[in-house]
Amino acid sequence: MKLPLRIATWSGAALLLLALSVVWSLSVGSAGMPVARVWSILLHQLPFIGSAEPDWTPMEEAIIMQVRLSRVVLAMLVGACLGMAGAGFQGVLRNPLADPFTLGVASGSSVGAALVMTLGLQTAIGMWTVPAAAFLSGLLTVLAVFLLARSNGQMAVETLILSGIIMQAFLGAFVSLMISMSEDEVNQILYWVLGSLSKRTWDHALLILPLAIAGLPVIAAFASAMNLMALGERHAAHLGVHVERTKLIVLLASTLVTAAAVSVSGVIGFVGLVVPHLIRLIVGPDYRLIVPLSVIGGGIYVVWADTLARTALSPKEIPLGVLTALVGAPFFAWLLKRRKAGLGREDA
Amino acid sequence: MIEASGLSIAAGGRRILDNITFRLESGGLYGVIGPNGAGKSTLLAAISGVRRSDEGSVRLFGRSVASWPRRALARRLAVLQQEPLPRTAFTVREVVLMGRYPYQNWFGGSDGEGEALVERVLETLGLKEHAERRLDTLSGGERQRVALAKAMAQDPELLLLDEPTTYLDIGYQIHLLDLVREWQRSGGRTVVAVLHDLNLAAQYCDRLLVLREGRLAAGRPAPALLQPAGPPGARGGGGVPRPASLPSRRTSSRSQYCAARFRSCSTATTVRPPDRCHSRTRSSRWIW
Repeated sequence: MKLPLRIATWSGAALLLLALSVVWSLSVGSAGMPVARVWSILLHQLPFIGSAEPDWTPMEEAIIMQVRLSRVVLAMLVGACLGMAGAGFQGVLRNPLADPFTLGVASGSSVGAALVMTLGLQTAIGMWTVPAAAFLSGLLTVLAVFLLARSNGQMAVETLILSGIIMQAFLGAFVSLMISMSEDEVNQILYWVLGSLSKRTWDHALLILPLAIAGLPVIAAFASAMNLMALGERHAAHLGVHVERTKLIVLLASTLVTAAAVSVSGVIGFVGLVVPHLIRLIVGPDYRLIVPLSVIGGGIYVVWADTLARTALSPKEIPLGVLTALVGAPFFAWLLKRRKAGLGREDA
Repeated sequence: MIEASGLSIAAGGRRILDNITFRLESGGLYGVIGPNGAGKSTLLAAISGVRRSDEGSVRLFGRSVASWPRRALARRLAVLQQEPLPRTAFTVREVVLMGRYPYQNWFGGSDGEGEALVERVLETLGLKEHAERRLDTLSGGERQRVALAKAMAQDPELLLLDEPTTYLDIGYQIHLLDLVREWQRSGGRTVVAVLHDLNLAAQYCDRLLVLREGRLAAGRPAPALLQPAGPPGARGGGGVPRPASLPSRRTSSRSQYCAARFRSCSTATTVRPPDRCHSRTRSSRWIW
């Protein structure tokens, strides 16, 4: 089958699954609601299509539209960002363990957020103080990792990954220090680090939407180049790929969307690791398919995970990052087991 | 086609290439030989532009290699590396199609003649029946053949081979070089090959460049470089019947070639233990 057709078919199927997941997620919660009614409420919002006479209460409509939909959309966007970034990181780093947090953006963001909370400045510049601090410190961390890994104008993949690990360990210690030093802020910092989508609004979703939309074409534009890089950087260079430029742009774009997601949701691990691997397992090694499908797949994964997080132990809520790790880690272990060729050899 | 003038590259305080000047005309199969560490692969990397020269310059197709846009260069120059392709999940056809990357848009769709070329290349290299197999199901030799197909799919005027036969057994080595020579001659193309095996170099190359400690020791037509070895036993080649004069390249048998020695090899031995030079010759003789 020709590539454009394959992309259209797979994306269509994935988008359908995403739509079904969103509606299912909207229908479950403390106030249960039949799926059909959720559909009606949603369709009612569209001009000309919605039925004339609502057969639901304004209360129900408010729950769906204000409370649940904003959260589900945010989950979708966070997942899309992480899935996209994961595909980008795996594409240029060509390492099965590469994920959006490989270069330390998560720990960097955590330090920024924890610092703001420790100093009691959560609302210094309004509701955006913590996200802004997390975003900036995350980006600074990645730039530091780049500088650490750079030599002779080039960034070797192994050095990049090792620099990221060192930075994570270093900054992780800082976060631990702040958690142990603070008293009543403990829960706040911990809760942020564990990742959650509760108490978020439409504004949070609107905040990361532009970055998600801007990041996708940038990373997708390098999909062919990433295919070639799967054969090795030298092969790619001899076929006309600007290897260093590709690495830099894809890593920067992936980092930006990751930082955006992390700044509103906290650290949600394993999404960017598991989703691209799973997609690769289903559709094969071509990044022109992996990138767009990881975006949709990431959205689906986080919508499911967040639904589970808020309903499984209701009324208690499981931190989303904890849940994605609980589900993601064993799944990843299974993925690795499945590979006959072994770790790192068949990662293209 | 290739002009190097005063080319020098240093690394770690050592000159890997030292003031190399040569000029290769288009059309022909050139061999680069020399002992380990002589700078053969670095020379190739400098020609292909992945390694910047510290002094001097390389000009390709009349233009400094550094100033070539990478994509435009990839339409005229292909490189076959020493290491086989990795075991990826891409199929043989997908990888060979990647050779068309310098000609393609994002979808790989605007390249109609390229697809026909890829099919022809698959046919020529006997990969047609393996086209849908994944690379991780192929042997090292088969993957090297796929890499050659990918390079041919680039439709280059100039192909650089960096010890392409290192990981192949002797049968595959000959097979691969046969394919390269056939392709080079039929299309009037140019091939520059770093070859480890002097016998293969003598048999396949029209002209040889001999590198020694980063300098060009000789650059002459292959037959002129071929000389009978010294007295039997003196250099470890004892027992091999030596032809009185060098047999012609086209008519002699392989065993006669193995008996022949390079003068350049003897030259090279001044910087390298003689036994290594001879042991390689001996081992290839043994296999053949």
